[in-house]
Amino acid sequence: MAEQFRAIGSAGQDEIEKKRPTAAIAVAAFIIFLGLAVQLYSGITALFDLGVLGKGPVPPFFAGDALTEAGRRLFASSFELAYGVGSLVILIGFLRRRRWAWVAAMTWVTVSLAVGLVRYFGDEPRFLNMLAGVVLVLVLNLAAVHRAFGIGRR
Amino acid sequence: MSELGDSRQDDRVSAPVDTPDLELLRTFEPVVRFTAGEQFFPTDVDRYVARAGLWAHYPDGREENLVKGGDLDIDRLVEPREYPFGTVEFLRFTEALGVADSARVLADIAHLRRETGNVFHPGVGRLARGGLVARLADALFSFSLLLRGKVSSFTAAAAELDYHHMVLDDEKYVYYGRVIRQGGWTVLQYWFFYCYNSWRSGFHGVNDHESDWENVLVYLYEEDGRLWPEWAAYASHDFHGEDLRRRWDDREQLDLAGGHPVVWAGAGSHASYFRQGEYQAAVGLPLPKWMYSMARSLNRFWTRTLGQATKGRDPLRIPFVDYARGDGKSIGPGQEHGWTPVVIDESTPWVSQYRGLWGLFAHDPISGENAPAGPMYNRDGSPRGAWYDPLAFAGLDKEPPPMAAMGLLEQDCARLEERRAEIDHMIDEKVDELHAIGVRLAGMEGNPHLQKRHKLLTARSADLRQELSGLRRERSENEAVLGALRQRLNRLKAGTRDDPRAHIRELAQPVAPSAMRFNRAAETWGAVSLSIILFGMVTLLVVARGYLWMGLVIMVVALVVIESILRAEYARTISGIAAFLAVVSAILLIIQYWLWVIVVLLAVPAFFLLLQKVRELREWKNP
Repeated sequence: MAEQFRAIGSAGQDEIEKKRPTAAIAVAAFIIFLGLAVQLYSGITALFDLGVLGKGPVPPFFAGDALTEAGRRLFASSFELAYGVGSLVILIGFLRRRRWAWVAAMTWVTVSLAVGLVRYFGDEPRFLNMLAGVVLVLVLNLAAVHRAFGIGRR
Repeated sequence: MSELGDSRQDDRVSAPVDTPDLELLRTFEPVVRFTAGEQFFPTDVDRYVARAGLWAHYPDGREENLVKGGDLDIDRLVEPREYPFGTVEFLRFTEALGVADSARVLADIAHLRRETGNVFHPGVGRLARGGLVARLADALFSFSLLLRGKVSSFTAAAAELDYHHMVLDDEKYVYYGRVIRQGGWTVLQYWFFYCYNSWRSGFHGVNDHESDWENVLVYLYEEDGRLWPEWAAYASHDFHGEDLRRRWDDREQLDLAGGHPVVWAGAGSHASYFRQGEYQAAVGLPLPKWMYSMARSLNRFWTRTLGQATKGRDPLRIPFVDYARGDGKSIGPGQEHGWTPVVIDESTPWVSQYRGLWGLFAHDPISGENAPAGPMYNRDGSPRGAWYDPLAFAGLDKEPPPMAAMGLLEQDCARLEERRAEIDHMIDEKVDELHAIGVRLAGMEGNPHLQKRHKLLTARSADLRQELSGLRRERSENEAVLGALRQRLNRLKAGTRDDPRAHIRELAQPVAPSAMRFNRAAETWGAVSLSIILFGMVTLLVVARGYLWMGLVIMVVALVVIESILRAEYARTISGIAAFLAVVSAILLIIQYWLWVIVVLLAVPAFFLLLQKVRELREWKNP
């Protein structure tokens, strides 16, 4: 009897796992896409402004051992670009339902929420970012999304 | 083993129905296996009482030594005494020690342990098994012992020495047995008395208390003039009712040694387990009930309303390990040490006439450190369920013995068959009557002068139809029940037994060996992480007070992440942190946009309501 119960139980589980939470994944993917688009856009435009990309003059980035204002902007925009590229990789992995992509997305949104809170308490609130972070966490933490990405199975 | 014993299959032993109680107890007496390092074993109450003093704690906080240690015996213990309401009567095995005595006792204990080699090795401990939150809760729990009453570690050491001297005088291992005949069952109840419960001081457990009472039950049924064992029930921490018992033929869950049930005793706690191993017992924090109910409500909202996944441990419960390794002393038939049985019942004076605690009253409001009362009573002096209703204690009060079950089933089937024949007859009668009325009603149609009569007959017809429908429903339901009962009866007759674990809701399982394979790094981390946080706080306070909060947050997050990586639980941890940050952010957003939140909360249902009504309106216009 117990064997029967197990068999029935496991079939039910398979059924559930086959059902992909499409809407939830689409919402999460959209938020990740928005995030990466903003990062890539601001990174690339900053690099164009500095003349690193395109034909403009390249300002000096170092003054002795220290970074110049342009150097600091170059550093920040490079970081934004790298962050955007990282987000793109996460998005691809996420759409392919990879476990690592879920972990990376959750790490990404955790950092984003932490930065959002620091900004809030530093009187530079970005409420839209905070809202996007809250929605993304709720979506990623849905039981159906956990099952779809194999979270908690190890 | 008793000579009366008769083996039927494997380890199954039986005894004639008229076997005297003592011999019956001996036939099924358990084998108890202890963990290496255990300091206390089942002993007799007489020698314990002879060394103890009798005390009373009065409602005004005053304590009085009624009989000095060494002057007490069972007769004096059970002398009738009158106390004001709220008085706690208790024994005290070891007297309060001064500084010099305490130092001497600790030195003697160290010497004794070196000499006997009876030392406990925790191995991979509970520190690595619980998470950081659980360890923080554990620290709070330890701290709560400073506020609650507790038994001092010197008391534990002194009790160990006293018990050691008792064993040197006369090494005997005692159980108090009792035979109860109740509800068709013959119940054998084995009570074990220990001088001390050293779970906390000796084995990193939850509590210490003077004296300990544990009990094991064996349930016998009668067949062919002999008594056969069907169930064994062991008292254990978190388990109640049906979860306490295992069927005698369930070899996976009940170990037998030469027909005797094997009890794996928890180190220090003396809780009884069916399987050898290390058990993770979770103990709730001593928090107010409203906090638990609030946590439950929030959890329900999080998981059911928001559909969020949760795999977290309960942070309000602290994991403790109860070691039931069975690698120490073994007591029982065929073992290195045998039992000295003593038969007890309500007529035994110390059982029924002493309602006080059997050891120190430590003033612990949640009772964990207070000594227990005797086998017949609870700490408050009320009767103990395991004593007066041993069947209900293991959820067996609703189950008849196997042979009686078959008879009851046959009786029930016969009763249902009889009722079916009765219903069939009634249905036939009512159908005939209904048909007759139907024919008559048809004949009366078109005759206005018969209208009154027609109306009466129509009403009668309706009543009959209703009765008929009720009878047919009853027949159908009875048929289904009868089918199920017959199926079960046939199974029983064919000797097919039910799943031996069908009654168990929560099965006590030792921690699987794979779950214990923490590496040394995780174990070391478990031991030092909490201290690192505290040292870090001190450093921040002294060196960089301006960055205290920021530094603290970074430090805690770093520690949590390291912890989760070591425990291979990064996904769960990061999900927890994200959820926490999301909740904080959501609260800030609601505070910031509370007006808009209300607007949305009102506008959304208004919109849907409007949509629904407009659709209804359109359907009505275009049928």
